[in-house]
This record gives sequence, structure tokens and C-alpha cells, in this order.
Amino acid sequence: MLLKADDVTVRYAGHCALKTFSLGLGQGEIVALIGPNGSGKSTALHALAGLTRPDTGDVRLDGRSVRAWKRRHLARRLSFLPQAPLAPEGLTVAQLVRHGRFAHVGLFGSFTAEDRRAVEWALESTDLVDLADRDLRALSGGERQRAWIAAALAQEAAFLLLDEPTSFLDIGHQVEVLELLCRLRRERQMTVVVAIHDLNQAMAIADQIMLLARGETVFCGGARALSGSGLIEATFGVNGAFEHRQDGAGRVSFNAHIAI
Amino acid sequence: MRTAPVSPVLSTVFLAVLFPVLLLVAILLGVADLPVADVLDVLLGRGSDNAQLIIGTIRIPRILTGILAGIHFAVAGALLQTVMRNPLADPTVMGISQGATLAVTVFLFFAVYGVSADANTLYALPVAWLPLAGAAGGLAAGAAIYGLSVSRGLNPLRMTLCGIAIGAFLHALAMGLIAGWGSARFEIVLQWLSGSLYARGWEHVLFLLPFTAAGLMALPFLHRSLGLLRFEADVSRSFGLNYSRQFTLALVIACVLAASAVGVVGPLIFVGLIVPHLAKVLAGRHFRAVLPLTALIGATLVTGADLAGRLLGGAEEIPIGVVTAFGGAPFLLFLLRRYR
Amino acid sequence: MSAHARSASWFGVLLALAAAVSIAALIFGAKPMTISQALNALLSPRGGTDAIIVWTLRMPRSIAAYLAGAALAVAGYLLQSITRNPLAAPDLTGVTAGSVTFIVASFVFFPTVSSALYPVIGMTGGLAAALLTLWAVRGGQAPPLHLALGGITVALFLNAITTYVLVRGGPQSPSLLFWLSGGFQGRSWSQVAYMLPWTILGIGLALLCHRAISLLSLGDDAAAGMGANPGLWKLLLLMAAICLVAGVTPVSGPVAFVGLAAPHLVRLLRPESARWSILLNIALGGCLLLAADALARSVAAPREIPVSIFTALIGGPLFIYLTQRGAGAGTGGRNR
Repeated sequence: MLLKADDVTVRYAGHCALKTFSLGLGQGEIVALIGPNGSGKSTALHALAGLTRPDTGDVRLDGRSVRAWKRRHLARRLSFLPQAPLAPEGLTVAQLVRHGRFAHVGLFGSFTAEDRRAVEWALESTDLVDLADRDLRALSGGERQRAWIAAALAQEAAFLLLDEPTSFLDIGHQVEVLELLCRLRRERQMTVVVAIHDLNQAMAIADQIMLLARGETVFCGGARALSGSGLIEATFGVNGAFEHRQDGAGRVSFNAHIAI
Repeated sequence: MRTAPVSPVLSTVFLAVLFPVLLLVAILLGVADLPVADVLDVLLGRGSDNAQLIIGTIRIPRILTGILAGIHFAVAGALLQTVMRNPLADPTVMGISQGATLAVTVFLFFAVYGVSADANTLYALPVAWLPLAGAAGGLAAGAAIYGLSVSRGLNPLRMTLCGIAIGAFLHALAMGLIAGWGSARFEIVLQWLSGSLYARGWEHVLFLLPFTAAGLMALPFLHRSLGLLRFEADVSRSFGLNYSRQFTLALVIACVLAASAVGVVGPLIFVGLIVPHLAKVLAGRHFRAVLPLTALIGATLVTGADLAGRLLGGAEEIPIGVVTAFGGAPFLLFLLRRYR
Repeated sequence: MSAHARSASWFGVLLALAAAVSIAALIFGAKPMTISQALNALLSPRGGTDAIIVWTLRMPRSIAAYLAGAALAVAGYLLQSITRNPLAAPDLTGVTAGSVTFIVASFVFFPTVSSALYPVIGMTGGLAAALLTLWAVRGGQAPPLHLALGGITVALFLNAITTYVLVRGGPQSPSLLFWLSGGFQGRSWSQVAYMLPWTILGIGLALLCHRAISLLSLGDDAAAGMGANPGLWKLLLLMAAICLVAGVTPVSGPVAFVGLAAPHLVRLLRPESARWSILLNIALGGCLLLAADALARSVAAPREIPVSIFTALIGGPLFIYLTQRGAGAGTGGRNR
């Protein structure tokens, strides 16, 4: 276990946003965080990334609390992409991605061939080479999201935390992003934690699914165990609206019925 | 501004020509009518004593003060706009100038009443201490804003609002004090309030110079962290920046530059607001060029505005703060409207 | 107690408080009096120096302060309602600065212009400044911060001009500056009569339009959906607010923060309707400025302290608190 959260509890203004959250991550796996709005997905990611101080419990990377790491050293091991981040005006795609190398270059260093290679790789992986010199604000939502993912990739960190990376994307771009995540795990042995709303997408890509509700971990395990458990219905409060399916390869999916 | 990016090289060359020309004109022209030949004689180390006196003790220190103040305001504005992620941040909007104003007012108030209530002592006022009082007041205002915001995680938007609130509050106090003070003594404060380079001498240059040197030397070290501070806190932290430390550092430098300049020349409104935008347009995509260009444009703008105020106003020159306000207002409204 | 009764009783309490403060204001001053002396003078207008002091100095001054406070509070309430912005106030939208700059400029450059025209001149300036600010921030539909920023920048620009005019003003400057500091020293019946019509016009307009105010508070689209023309009503109410500020400013000079603070304090009393809001603003704003003026002239008597220092001491911390509480909606952290 390299990244490990132990009984993390976070309170905002008195109310408990995350309750005794525990998670252990090794190399090369994808964990999906699912749950209704306000269930603590984002808080869990912020705690894992060391951006929120847990009230109790701790998140450790390589045995050391993430809050104790120097930010720059942490950023070399772990990159985090917030939900719908805003870029400053007038930045090109390549400039944004180069910011991802800050963790390696530092305040005063200069770009080496190694850094340039990492930026190239990040742009290629996200299929952005042709758009590298375009202004970020002139891109479509999907392209902009990929540019942000490229910036996170350029950090060349082993852990990638993404907060709803597919929100606001059309279905084509959603699939692209998810395929990229699977490829990163397969080819680079990266570990990805992703907060996501679409249950089917979560079940399709994740090795491990965590279902959160009001800050509590309701379920943690594989997709098949989840589909049989009835917890989805209980958590989202839509009894009987889901139909479970299993395809030939043993993958499960949901169909939601709308009662008219 | 979606205009085609101007070539940074070309614009830098243009500035590099414009700036010395302005300097030369500023030295050549003035209230005392010195023939061009005399001025050139002085510059070459000859010339009459009278001409040497005018050039050496009046015009040159005045121009130098303007250049340094221009650099201070412009760079402070650029730093504030970057860390506040707000294209309208500037020492006056953020309340730093109002802190300096109040401090100068209070200082004069006590200097007058502390020494004697006799109106004739006006000209014995410790004017030499004004820059120091102003700088201290500006820094105190900056510290107050920082202190109110630090417990809230340095949220830039909240901090800007807090700056506006503190600025309005301090301004009301200062205006009340100036007016309640009454009689004829207010004139010196008014002169200072409208931002003026009138009668600025070598002592002012020497007061500013250490701050300028320190500030400019810090800039290369700030370049990369400023690039990251333009992002939201979470993003720049994820990229590996020690956000709080770099934010505070940039803010302190901006405060010191702004407060020291306000102390010497008064609040030159809009210089800090406009110049960084001009620099950004000229620099285009070359973020690296923004800060040096900001400093250069700031110096050029203040020299030019001072010259304009001297030439247009005749014997009774127009304070430079008024010139920058008039020149800056249309630009500013355009910016405001564009900003959302 | 019903909401209606609660608003009514608050109104009564505030009026009683104002009456108490104004009696106190009759007593305090450069020449102290006892209550009975003051009441005697009040009842016999023609008897002795006390009566002269009360009837020609202290009474008109108190009434002027009360009217000004009421007018500024209602103006602030109107501006906050039409922009739906808690940070809107005469001083924060550039309205006051606009009136001041125009009046100062006409005083210095066109000394022959009759002072009876100053409210009109001030109105022109206030309207120009307000429209400039609103144009720049796209009608105030932007977040509260933008309006504050826009108004502050417009006000800064106008202040620079005012300061310059003062520098150029020469011998007139001290009297201008005295006026600019805001206050009611030496204000007489003629000045009360001077601002009365403007105050009545503005407040009357606001009271007549109270339904439109309630509708506008729901937002432009909702108001339009319910059959009001938001653009028209907003302009009318803006005119009412500026009319109030412009009527008061020539008499009292700019008085800071009353227009910001009073509507917020009124909101704490949870008025039942827009109409009660206006009435409570009249009662509270007047009371506030009356008390501030009484303090201004009695704390360091016989010396006067500018009233703006007191209003800033009340309003400034409130303003800072509002910004810290996140009145600039959208300033809060992202939802996690």
C-alpha cells in the first residue's frame, strides 16, 4: 500500500463532510468514488491530495502524512485535478501543460530535455498535439478538459486524482477520457482515483468502487458485488427504478426506469 | 483583448526609443525657460551655475522620482492583479493608498497640533517625514487586510472585497479629519492627495531607491510562482506550489512597493491598474516579458504624464494624479465592461 | 405578533428613539441647557436667547440631519433593491461622488449659478456616474463584487477630479472642504426647506412603487415573467434614489456609509413588506444620522467633529463584516 487513508474525518462548519473514510491504494488500479451530490466525494479527494486537513485520521503517502510532504515533492508523486478548474486568461494548451512540470523544475530551474519529453508525451496521450498552440479559452469543453488532464499527466505522478473529469462533456468525450484512464493504468501502471456521477461508467472502468452517502462509506468493492447488494437503490433513494444487467463478459450495468 | 498580439520585440524597441526621448524632453522643458543649448551644456558637464542648479536639483530628481514611482505602482499593480486573480486590483482599489492617506493626514494633524496651534508654523512642518508616514500607513492597511483574510484561507476575492471595504472606511476617516482640521493647513494634504511630483528632490529619490532595488531584484525569483499563482489555489497546490507562502511573498512585495511610492508622490490612481494590462497586450503570449515590460511602461507612463501635466497646466501645473486619472478612466471603463 | 404588527411597532420604537435623541440634541451643544430650559424655549418661540438657540440653531439642524439620514437610507435601500446587491449604496455606486464632483465644479468654475440649481446639477452628476457604473458592470447583473469594484473605480476617478478642482479652487477651497467633509453645522431653516421637496419627491416615489420593488427583488426575469417591465421600473427607482442623494448632498455634503448601513440594519428587523422596509429605513436612517450629528457636536464641544467620522465608525466595520461574511455571493469556497 503506497497511498493510504485511515479513518479520515472532515468537518465543515460543524457538519461532517466525510466520516471515517479509509482507502488503500497500490500500483495500477482504478478506484471510482460514486454517490449522490454532497456525499463527500470531493472532500475525500481533497483529503487524499492533502488539500484539506482531516479533523481526525490521516492520509499517508509512502508512510508519511501527505500534509507533511513539501507540496512540490508531493506533486511529483500525486497529481490532483479539481472539478471544472479555471485557467487564467490568454494561456495556450502547451503553456498550461508546461505548468504541470513545475513540480520537477521548481521556482528557479530551467526546462530540460526530460521536461520537454514529458510535456510532449502528455500532449500525445491526450491527443492534443495539433491544438498545442491554441488559446485555452478558444477550445471546446471537451478539449479544455483534456488539456487539464494533460497538465496533470505532465507531472508524471504515479497517483492521479480526478474530480468529476467527465462532467460537462458530451458522451463521445466522456468515453475518450475514460479510455485514456484505462490506458494509463495498463501502460504506465498508474493508479487513478476518480469521482464520477455515471454509475455505468464507474462500473465499466473501476477495479474498486466506493459508494459514499452523507460522508459515510456505504460500500467498497467490485462492481458485481455492488450490483447485487441493493445499496445503489437505497443510497440514491429510487427503489425499484433500476434494472441490473449482466453482459456476456460478466460486466454489469444499470438501466434506470422513469415512471410515467 | 483578442487583438492580434503585437510583436514583443517590436514594442520593446518602440518603448526603448520612446522612453529616452521622453526623458530628454522632460529635462529640456520646464517652468524656468532654459534654452536647449544651456541644458545640453549642463548635461555635458558645462553650463552656467544657474542652469546647473535647475537641472541638477529640480528637474533630474523630479524625473527620477517619477520613474521610480511609476515602476513601483506598475509592478505593485501587476503583482496584485496576479495574486488576486482580479484584473482590477491595484493599490488604490485594495485600500493601500487610503491607508497611506490616513497616516499622512494623522501625522500632519499631530505634527501641527503637537508642535503648536499657530497657523504660521505650517512651513516648519516635518515634510521630510511624510514618505515614511505614508509608507507605514500603506503597510498597516495591507497588514490589516491580510490579517482579516488569513484565517479564511487567503481567498483572493474575499480579500479584494475586504480591501475595498477598508479603503472606503479609511478614506472616510481621512476626509473627515482633513475637513475637520479646517483653516488653511489642508492645502499641503490636498496637494499630496492629488498625486504630485512637484518639488520632489534627491531625498525622495534616495528614499525610494532601496525599495525599488529590492523589489526589482526580487522579480526574477517571483516569475515562476506568479505563473502558478494565476491559477486557483487548489490547482496551483496540485502543481506543487506552496501557495500560502508564495501568495504572501508576492503580496508583501506589492505592498512595500505601493506604500513607499504612495508615501512619496501620493496616490497616483490608475497607474497600477492600467500598466499591467498594457504590458500584457504587448507581451502577448510571452508571460516572461510581462513584468519587465510593466516596469518599463510604468516608468514611461509616469514620465509622460508628468510632462503632460507640466506642459498643459502652464505655470500652475496639473497634478500628475489628475493626468493619470483622466487618461485612465476611459481605459478602465472599457476593462470593467469586458470583465465578467 | 404578526409580521405587520412587528414592523409597525419597530417603526414606533424608532420614531420614539428619534424624538428622544432630538430632545437630547436640543440640550447638548456649545451652550448646555437643562431639559426644562430646552422645553420652555421650545414652547415659547419668542422668549430669550435660549429660544433663539433652540429655534434657529439646534432645531433646524436636527431636522436637517434627520431628513438627510432618512433620504440616504431610502436611497441605499432602493439601490440595493434594484441591483439586488447588498454592497450597493450611494457611496459605493459613484452616485455621491458624481453629485459632489458636479456641484464642486459648478461652484468653482461657474460661481454665478444659483445654489437653488445644485440639486439639479448634483442629480445630473449622480445619474451620469450611476449610469456609467451600471453600464460598465452590465446593469448590475454581475456578481456583487463587480458592482462594488465598478462603483469604487468610478468614484476614485471623480474624487481625483474633485481634489484637483479643490487645489485649483484657491480662496473658495476651505469653505468647499468644510462642505465636503459632510455635516450639519450652521444649517438653517432655509436649508431644510431647500432639501424637503427633493426628499418628499424621492421617498414618495419609492412608496408609490413599493410593489415594483418587491417584484424586482425576485430578479429581472422573474419580475418580467410576472408582468413588470424591469428596465423601466429600475430606471424610475434609480431616479428616485438619485433624487434623494442629490437633494441632500448640496446641504449636508457627502455623508459616508449611512446609505449602506441603514438598509442592512433594517433587514435585521425583518420588515413585513417593501413598504415597511422604506418606512423603517426612514425611521432608522434619520435616527442614525441624528445621533451621529448630536455626537459630532457634543463630544468635543465647542469644537465640531465631522459627522462622517462617526458614520464611518458605524458603517465601516459593518461593511467589512458584510464582505467577510461573503455578502459578495460567489466568493465562498467551492462546494465540496
